[in-house]
Amino acid sequence: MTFRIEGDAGDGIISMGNVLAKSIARSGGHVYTFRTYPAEVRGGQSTFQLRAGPEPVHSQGDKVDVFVALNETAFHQHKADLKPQDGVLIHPDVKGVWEGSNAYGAVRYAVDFDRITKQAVGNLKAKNVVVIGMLAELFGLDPDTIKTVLADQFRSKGEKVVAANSRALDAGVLHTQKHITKIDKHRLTFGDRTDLLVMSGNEAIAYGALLAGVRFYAGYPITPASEILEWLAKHLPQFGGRVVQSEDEIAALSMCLGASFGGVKAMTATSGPGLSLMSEMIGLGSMAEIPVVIVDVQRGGPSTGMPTKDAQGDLDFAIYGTPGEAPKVVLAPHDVEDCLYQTINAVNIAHRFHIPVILLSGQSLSHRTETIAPPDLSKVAIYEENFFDGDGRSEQRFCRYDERAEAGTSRRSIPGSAGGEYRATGLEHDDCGLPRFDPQTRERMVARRRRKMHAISKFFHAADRSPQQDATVGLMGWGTTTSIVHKVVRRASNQGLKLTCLCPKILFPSPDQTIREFIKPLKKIFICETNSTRQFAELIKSRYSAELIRGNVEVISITKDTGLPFTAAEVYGPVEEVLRHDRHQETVNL
Amino acid sequence: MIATKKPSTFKGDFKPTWCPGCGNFAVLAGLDRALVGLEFHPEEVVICSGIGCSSRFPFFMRTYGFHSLHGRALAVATGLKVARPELTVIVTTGDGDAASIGGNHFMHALRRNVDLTCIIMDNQVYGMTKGQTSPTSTRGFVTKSTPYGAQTPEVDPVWIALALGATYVAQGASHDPKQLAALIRAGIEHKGMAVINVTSPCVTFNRACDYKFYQERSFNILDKQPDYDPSDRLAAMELVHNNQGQFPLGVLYRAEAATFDEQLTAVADRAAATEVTLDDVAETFH
Repeated sequence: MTFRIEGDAGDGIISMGNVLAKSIARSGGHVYTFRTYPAEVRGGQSTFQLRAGPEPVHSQGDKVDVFVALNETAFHQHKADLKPQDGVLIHPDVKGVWEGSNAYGAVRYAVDFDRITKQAVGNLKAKNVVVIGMLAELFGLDPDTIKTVLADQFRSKGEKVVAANSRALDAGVLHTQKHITKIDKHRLTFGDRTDLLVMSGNEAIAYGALLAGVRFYAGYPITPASEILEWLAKHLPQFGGRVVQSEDEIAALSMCLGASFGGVKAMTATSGPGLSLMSEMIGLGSMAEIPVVIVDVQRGGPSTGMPTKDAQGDLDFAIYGTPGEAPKVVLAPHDVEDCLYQTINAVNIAHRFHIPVILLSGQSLSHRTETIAPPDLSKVAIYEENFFDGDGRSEQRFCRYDERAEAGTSRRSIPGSAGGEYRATGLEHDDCGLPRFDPQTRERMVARRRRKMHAISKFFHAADRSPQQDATVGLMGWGTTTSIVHKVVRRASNQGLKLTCLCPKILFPSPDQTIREFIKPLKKIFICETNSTRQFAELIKSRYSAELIRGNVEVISITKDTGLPFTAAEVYGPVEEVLRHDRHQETVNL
Repeated sequence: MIATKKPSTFKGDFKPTWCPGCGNFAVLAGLDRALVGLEFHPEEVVICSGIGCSSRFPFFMRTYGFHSLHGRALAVATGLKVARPELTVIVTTGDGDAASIGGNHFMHALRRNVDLTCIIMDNQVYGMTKGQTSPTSTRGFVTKSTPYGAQTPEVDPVWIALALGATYVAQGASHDPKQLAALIRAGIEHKGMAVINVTSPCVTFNRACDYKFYQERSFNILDKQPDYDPSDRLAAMELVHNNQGQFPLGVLYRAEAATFDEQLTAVADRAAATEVTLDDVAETFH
């Protein structure tokens, strides 16, 4: 069941949505929400969409069941998204454009929210809670559960505020009971788990960092990544950590490398413009072999681009964007829950292999919320480095970059440890970290770094797969497009069509064996991504050209670069064409 | 700390690559003397640097060292000091590294009052890249990058340090190694951001600014003003302002103030005062 609530930026739409989402989760429902808001701080429309169900929800849904339009603009802009026939439209009880809206087949409920709110609490501040009360009564959400959420939300603002919100909720419920005759058939349904957590992709990344043992964070505010800085600024100090708002992104990553050199797990988060500023420092992390995690919450580019819009345009930059063949790892989380676990993976890989790890999230993932099961901390493996523990003051130099080391990774020593003194440097260096430019040293150190990448691809090659017997058509996606890929595969399966899929969680180093196995039985591979230059598809085509040519496999890109994520229909359409008619297709640009 | 250190404790693995006669040798000797005098162990000290002749410092001493990127030493050092407040972190930098490419980090490290010791080896030229104009070069300075003379006025790192909130500002000279060692030592002992600007001649690429040049233009603050009060920031700025083109040597300014690392430690102590568990954090999402 899908709700959309839209009104003025000052109507409290987002907080209304958050209360609704948590209340549904506490009642045993799963949710998937997203919000849009203008790039400017004030003015404009604010939208919150929430899809709820008894089972996990993986996409926003194509059409809206219940549309709360708090002003005429909202109605104008989105009336076409309302489900025909059995949609529900809720709007203020004033004359307006909605008058003729029965033509869309929607059930209409007109409510004088302003009057009800004023009567209940004396001002208009709690209008959003009156709306929640009404939705609760209409669609079967327990008001007492909502009150527990409101109490938690407003506790810090004092008893008075909690009481006012409670009254507003009751007023919404009561008005609905007395004055609205329910004529639609929608009702929320719930599952058994009432311990589900509701969080956004950004919060999941920040929370994952805390769980992974990150205790230093430096960052510079940037849309759409700032919530990671904000969440950690509040919570890291509670666990003895340090958070610095740096003067720029270069400083953010510099500080992280400084902290990590000191043996403290460090992370920063940014978006495309910040990532480009960091690229020289990423090279230093690579060369000096200092673990660090860099989150890139991608947004539409190039340059300042579209800060509040979605894109997957940074893959090439993440992989190749540092001059001089700097080894690094690129991971991409698939959904909100994966944000948490991939962040933990990123921290683990960074510390196991002493390398910068870039985590490619995206705007659509960063701000939407989903319900996830509370992480079972006993099953989350956190990698702890075994530092050199000091051997007094021997005359021997500490061999920080032992060239014979397995996996191209040798033990670190951290300041304070006697006998482990060494220098980290961006210069080519020998095994003790001293500058050396002779061809023999160079050759050995290049080999050492390549060995590291090889070891990583053997160590971590997780992917989402859906094996399908006899399928000759495959669908690939990465990061934020993964949930759509799953949806398309389910839809195909429901239609009796054979479609297999693969979405790697690690993009670089590429999980060769997994991808080669996937390609082998196929004749056609669709690759969907939200950019215009087919970055992932080009990587697959060039890296696996031998396999693709040998098997006569056709690679078809489905791309979209509008600032919005794919809908399932947009990907399913072209795939279905091929599955049903085996029609020949080139790139599909939406 | 054990008081049985020999002067050789900090002798590095790598022979300095500086040109014979380089002013930086005096700084190396001065820092060595300060660390030995303060009875540090090598593992307790980290020397952070950026890029340039002065930034090769970490290779020439036996301590932990982080030879980072051009201009970024102060940011790297800030992260390290905040994460590991018990370490003694020293930044070695130059006029280009600190005042040009690293200007932003210089400014913010100063205003944060991070407990670091920042030694600027100022030779008024880019030496490592073989002789281009630096931000401290005087107007009209002819180099390969400014064949018609530099068209910009010079910046004074001392002036910037005073203006932006460093709590220890001193100026030393390679031609006076004894005073220099004392100034560095006092800078390390100082709690807070200590900036020591050192006139340190580049004998290869800036022959105009040689030892004689600096000797003729330097004076000891206390020689000129025996009653000079280093706790008066305006007096320090007045002294610098009234002696442009000159190099007042000694401690210009010293003050006590809470350091950034100290404050973040206090923040963490405060935040952790009421015990928060990972379960409590999970509950905020419920």
